[in-house]
Amino acid sequence: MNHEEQLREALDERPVDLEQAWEEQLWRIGASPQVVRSRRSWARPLIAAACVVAAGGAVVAGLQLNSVTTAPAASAVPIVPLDPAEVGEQALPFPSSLADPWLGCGNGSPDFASSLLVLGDRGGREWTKLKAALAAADPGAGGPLRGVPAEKARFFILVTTAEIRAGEPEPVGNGQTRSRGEISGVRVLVATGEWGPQGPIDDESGYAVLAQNDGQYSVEDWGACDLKPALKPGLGWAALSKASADPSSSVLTVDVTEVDCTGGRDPSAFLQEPVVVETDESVTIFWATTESAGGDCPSNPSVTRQLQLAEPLGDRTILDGSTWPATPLS
Amino acid sequence: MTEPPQTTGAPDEAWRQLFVAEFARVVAVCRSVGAVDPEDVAQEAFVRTYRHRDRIADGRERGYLYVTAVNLVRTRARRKPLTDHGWSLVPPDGPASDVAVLADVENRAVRLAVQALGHREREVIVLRYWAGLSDAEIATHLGLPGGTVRSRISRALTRLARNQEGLQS
Repeated sequence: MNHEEQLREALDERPVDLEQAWEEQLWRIGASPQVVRSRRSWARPLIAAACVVAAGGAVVAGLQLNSVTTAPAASAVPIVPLDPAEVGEQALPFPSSLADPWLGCGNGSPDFASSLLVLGDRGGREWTKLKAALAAADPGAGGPLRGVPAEKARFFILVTTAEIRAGEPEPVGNGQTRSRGEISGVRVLVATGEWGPQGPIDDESGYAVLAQNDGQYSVEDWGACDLKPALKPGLGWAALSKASADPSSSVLTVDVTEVDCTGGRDPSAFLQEPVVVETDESVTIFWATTESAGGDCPSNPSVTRQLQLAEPLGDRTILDGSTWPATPLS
Repeated sequence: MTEPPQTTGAPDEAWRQLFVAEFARVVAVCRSVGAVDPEDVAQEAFVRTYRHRDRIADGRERGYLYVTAVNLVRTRARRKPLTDHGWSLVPPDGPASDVAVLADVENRAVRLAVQALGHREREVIVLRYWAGLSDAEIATHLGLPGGTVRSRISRALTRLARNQEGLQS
């Protein structure tokens, strides 16, 4: 064997699982079957939510009612950022744009923009470091890492949070000083397992929070992700358990129940004003409540409320906005 | 964080065929030049090539892919290896026959000799003999004159032979 042949022979080629590798490739380029299939349905609530920009407010029977313009055709409307100047003092319960609502997994994990469910980071230096940290965590400890071999752990980065503050002033000449930004408390929220635009797609998938120390990461927390729209501090969600309406009527009757443990309090005094988003196809109701200081978890009582719609309900679907994605009501 | 991935829709059949035909070899090339996580690097190389394929002339995807993979290995090698965290993606070798062991020892010596080359020479050797690119393809993707590629390969082969002798002595 001559030298060149010996060189060719030296290539360390081993069998690979091509089917699994191809699946991972599709997932990395954001074209996995779940993503492609769901993109259309994912776009709809964003478009609907964007329409609330134009919402006006009128107070009837103690409730703020939002009359919303008809949703434009899906193909014509990109995600529209919500301009706070247009919203004015409207008491939206969300901490961010309705056009790209933030979501949270709960348990004190960082919130993130819903678009990151599709656009989350699936590569790069931090991704590799995080993979090492996830693999170093005990995969038998349960949660989203259970049953996932270290080298096959699937995840992507949802959001990175950090504290940034000015460091000690340093002289730069001519009597001037400057301060470098100091970054600390870096935490990374990653989605583990199989996720689509609507969140985890099975019980084995969830989230993990990794903390950075000395440039390396360690898993701080993990668990199943109960994905919900994020709320401003001090607020919790109220769920809609039942709705009734005559299709020819513009008045909608719903039962409202606080989601978190509230000690069984009467929710009447704590319910915020609802945000209602109407489109040609749906009526989505976002109803927040003042967060409870905690307490036991008996069955929370429901209260019945009426909403005035901009036009008769017709055959539109009524959606509860306290979940992600919004859930149809019976 | 790195730039977020673009969602580009489902790849076509031609892209799938390229992946199926080349993935194992790209992994092998990455492993042979010392990648700690060769499958990860290979995946990333395919992703980057896919995202840029509108700018890659027809028939040149393969060359772009291998050049990207080799560059990624070099870039990652500057960082602290993952094994420092007690984790390695390289599976333990299974039992092997005496013949296979001998061949493996020889091949390993060759790979070590390749890894001992300077990165410019290692690059052309890997692309020429492991990725199977022609001199012209290497010249195109590295932006070098054809003569430079050929002379670099020649020098690299000479140095490689010396490196192997050094390793075996």
